[in-house]
Amino acid sequence: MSFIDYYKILGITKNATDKDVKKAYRKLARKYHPDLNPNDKTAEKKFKEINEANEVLSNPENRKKYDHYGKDWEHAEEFEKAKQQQQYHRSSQQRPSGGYADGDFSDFFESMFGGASSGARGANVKFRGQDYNAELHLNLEDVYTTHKQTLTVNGKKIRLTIPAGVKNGQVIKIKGHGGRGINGGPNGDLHIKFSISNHTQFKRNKDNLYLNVDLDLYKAVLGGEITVDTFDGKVKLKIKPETQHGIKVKLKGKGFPVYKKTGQFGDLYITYQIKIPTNLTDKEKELFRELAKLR
Amino acid sequence: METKDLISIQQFCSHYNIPISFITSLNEFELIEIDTIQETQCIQKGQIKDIEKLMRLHFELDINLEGMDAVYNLLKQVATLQEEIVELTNKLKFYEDM
Repeated sequence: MSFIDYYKILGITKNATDKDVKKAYRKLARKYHPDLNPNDKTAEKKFKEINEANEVLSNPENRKKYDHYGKDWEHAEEFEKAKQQQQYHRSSQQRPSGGYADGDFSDFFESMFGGASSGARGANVKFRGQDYNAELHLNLEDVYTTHKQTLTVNGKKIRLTIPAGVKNGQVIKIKGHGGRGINGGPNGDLHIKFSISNHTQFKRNKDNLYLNVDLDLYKAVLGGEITVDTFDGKVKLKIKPETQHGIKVKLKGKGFPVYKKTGQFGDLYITYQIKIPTNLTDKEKELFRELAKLR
Repeated sequence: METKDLISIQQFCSHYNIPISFITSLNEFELIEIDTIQETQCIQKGQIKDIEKLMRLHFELDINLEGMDAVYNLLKQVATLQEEIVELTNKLKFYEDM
């Protein structure tokens, strides 16, 4: 374990007064507090450091031990006793801290309405644990159907249901899989951000899919039938005679599943790319010239 | 609205050990709404999460009510902009891949 210079973190000198510590902490906390820097992991990390520094330096007992033992200050037996007393003292005063990420219910609500244990108040106020953030990388094919996946977060295995249609950058909340609650309060939540890569021939925009399909000149002119790939198999399409380059057709319900709306799908838009034949023979050129004369 | 979705201000403040005046001030600044049910002032459960955030801003960071009002509205804007960024990034990716 490397030594952490709490004085440096707060930007103060060793002979700073309690007032200086408080002032430095407040100033930095206002800058890096997660409530003021939503979804900023760097600020969150910095805030944790500042908090830790403040926990140590704002308490005379802690500060004394830290100054004396350096990096091993936490292991001092006497300190442990003092810490226990201090935790008891703090629990009667502290307000929710660290439960800064958004959740559907607050720790207060969980303890009051959750029904589990609503008796404790005042001296043993329960607070929700810290929320965790994680990022999950998936391929587009993975989120076409709802599936289960096992993740390891902070050493714990979590079986997660990933709903079909989840979007790139979307964040879902897994209730109760964050940090442990304080004084028996509910656990924090786990926020998972999805990072979805697309290596398919389809392009996705929200729930719709887009696909370019090559069409040979003769089929475009005379009409016919082609087979096209969709995300859930192949479909046969009729090509109207005189189909133009760049024309779009919509295949209703052949797009991507709509998030959390079972059975609902976006549409698939196909754009025809008409391919002009190359390496024409003399005979072909001649026939094209004849065709041109007819126009 | 069902009364189970409400909690009296007195109960809330006693739980968090905060003065009732703090909640009434939040109401005056239109940061939260107070409902009066049978002469008891209550807040809705959906607001608790926001009140906790405002409490942290006030008690941990020493931000006064005027400051909280400004910060709170800016945070709402940040959240909206972040959602918009995700949506626009996905849209941009769509056109870049074309």
